[in-house]
Amino acid sequence: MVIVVRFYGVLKELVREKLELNIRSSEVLFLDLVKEIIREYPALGNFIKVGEEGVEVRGVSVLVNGRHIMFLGGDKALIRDGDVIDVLPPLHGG
Amino acid sequence: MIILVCNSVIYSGQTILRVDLSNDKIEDEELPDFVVEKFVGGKGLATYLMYKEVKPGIDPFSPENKLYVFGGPLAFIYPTFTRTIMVSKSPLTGLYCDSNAGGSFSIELRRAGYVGIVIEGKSDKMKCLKITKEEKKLIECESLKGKTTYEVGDAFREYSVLTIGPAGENLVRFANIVIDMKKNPVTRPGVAGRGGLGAVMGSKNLKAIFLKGWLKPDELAKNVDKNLQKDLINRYLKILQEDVVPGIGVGGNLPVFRVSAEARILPVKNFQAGSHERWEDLADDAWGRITVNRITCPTCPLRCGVTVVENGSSTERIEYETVAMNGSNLMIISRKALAQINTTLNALGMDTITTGNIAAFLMELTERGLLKDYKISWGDLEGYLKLIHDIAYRKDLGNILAEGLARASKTLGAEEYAVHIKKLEIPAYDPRGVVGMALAYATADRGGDHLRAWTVAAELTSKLTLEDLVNLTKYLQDRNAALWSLVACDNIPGNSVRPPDEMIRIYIKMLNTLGFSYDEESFLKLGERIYNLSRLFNIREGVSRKDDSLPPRFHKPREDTGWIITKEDFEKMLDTYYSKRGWDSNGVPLKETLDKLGLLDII
Repeated sequence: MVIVVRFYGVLKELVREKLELNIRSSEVLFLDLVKEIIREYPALGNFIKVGEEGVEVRGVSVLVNGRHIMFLGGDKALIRDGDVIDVLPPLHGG
Repeated sequence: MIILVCNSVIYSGQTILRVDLSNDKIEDEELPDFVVEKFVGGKGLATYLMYKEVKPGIDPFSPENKLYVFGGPLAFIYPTFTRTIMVSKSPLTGLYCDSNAGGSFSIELRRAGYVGIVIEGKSDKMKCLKITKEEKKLIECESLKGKTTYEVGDAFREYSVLTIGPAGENLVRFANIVIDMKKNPVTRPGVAGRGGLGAVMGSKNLKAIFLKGWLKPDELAKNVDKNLQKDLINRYLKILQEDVVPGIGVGGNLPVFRVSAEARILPVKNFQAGSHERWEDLADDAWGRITVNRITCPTCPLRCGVTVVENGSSTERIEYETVAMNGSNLMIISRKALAQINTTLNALGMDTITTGNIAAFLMELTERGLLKDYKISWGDLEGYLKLIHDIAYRKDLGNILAEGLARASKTLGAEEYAVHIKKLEIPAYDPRGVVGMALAYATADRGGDHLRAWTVAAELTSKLTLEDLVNLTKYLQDRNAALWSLVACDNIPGNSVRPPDEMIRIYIKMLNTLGFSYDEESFLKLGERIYNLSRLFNIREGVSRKDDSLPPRFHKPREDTGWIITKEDFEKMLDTYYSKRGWDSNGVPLKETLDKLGLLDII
């Protein structure tokens, strides 16, 4: 299956604008997907990482097909063929 | 009026100046220790006094409404506590509102021996309040009627000046209150922009307060251990230099524009899209190139107040919200135009967020052909400048718009295009990308506001769960309510490149040098106490779960990205938040929550 992950702002600089990931299984845990991406792009670990209690983010927002991932099970969310993931950077200021 | 009896004093100057404009009465009133212990200063004290003194259901423009103008106990003793917080029942929302501003006023207020001023009643004629060592009096100032905020500031350059512009006099429901606005300012001007508190001043016929303090730091810090004070100041200044100066960047919060545009959460065409192809023309580098001066509030080493000049148009203190709400949101992609807009709004005394939001609403209605006798297109600068004046002087359509977006959209039969929460127009971040901000907006005690809980900062680590988001939102709301009781500056923790935890520990130690005995847990509880009290004020005015909601636009997929906050997802967030807060399913604090916070004996 193919999953598209889009990165914005500073995250785009660390990874690239869009990743198209070919996954062998028919679904994958978001947690495992993050591990894969960080293995390939370790600098991303400054903003999103896998700790003992799962995925931890520093001000980063993750949307799957337009909905925030916390409504879909958080890092236990199952990502399926054709899903589009948006990863937004933190914001300074206010 | 409540008579407060004082037995002892925690800090020097825990005194308020009560000013009754109905009968020209001015008197000092010392606050008792049990109130000061529980509410400290700034937002805390003002919220407590307003809850006790302002009766439910009153018209915000009636003499019964009061305006609380407060500083905090640390001002002038320690650096940077320069914010003045204004609290009142908002004429825009009909609810609790606080809005704070930088500048010199809070320092001068403390130097005059006061922690706050309570303004009540209503004068028949235009008055000003003058406070100096020699006299405290209300003086007639009919000659200042109609003057801009700059003109008032320039007329009293030797004082710290807190004033309204023509919009406040004309009861525009989103008129602001400004501090030290003048030509070539020496210290950074401040703007308390939100919620129309300038119109409360206008309704009382109070044009300005001008103030010159006289006390020296040691007179305010009589019981403070000097060695400890010096040590805390040095440690604090080091943190500012290392953690905050790099975050301030080109000044203010202008760097946010780049991040918002790149993250596609910039307001564009009334929140219909999240980025604009020419956004770089309004990003921080572009402003940095035309910055001619950076100034600071008294006692603060950070120079966050920028003055910019573009093709002969200059303006003071331009910030991200102004640029985004009046720039990309209206498709006015011109620094010169934004300098003009900022100066015009500051001079007339109107909130830049609300005005930009209302103009975007009108431009969208024009595009959709929903306006009969009026048209204004995206990017129409001349039309917009005229509209600003029409609102400030309540002319033609401006008279309807001066009532604020919620009321105006109802009058125009176009409520589905109005982007506000509890009648406060939302600021410049589309929450459909940064969903955490949706909860922050919906549960902010003054209506759609981002400053109470900035949940998307890089300094905050969280898991991708609803529970973590809710915990973070509650923590920040409580923390900021406590910080605004000092009154600490928003720009400092917000621009720190590291978590501000050590900074806040130092603030607590500073507070304790005055005679308090707070620790991190009780400091957070102070904030929670205040946040529950402002909630109780709103509940008394009829707020319930139905009001903790989002504008319809955010429940629809955004055209450019498809991002959405479904109603079902939002309600889940709210349920989890209420539960964490110890509120019932309708958003009312439970008795045991109030008991835990020491509020049962107060309400």
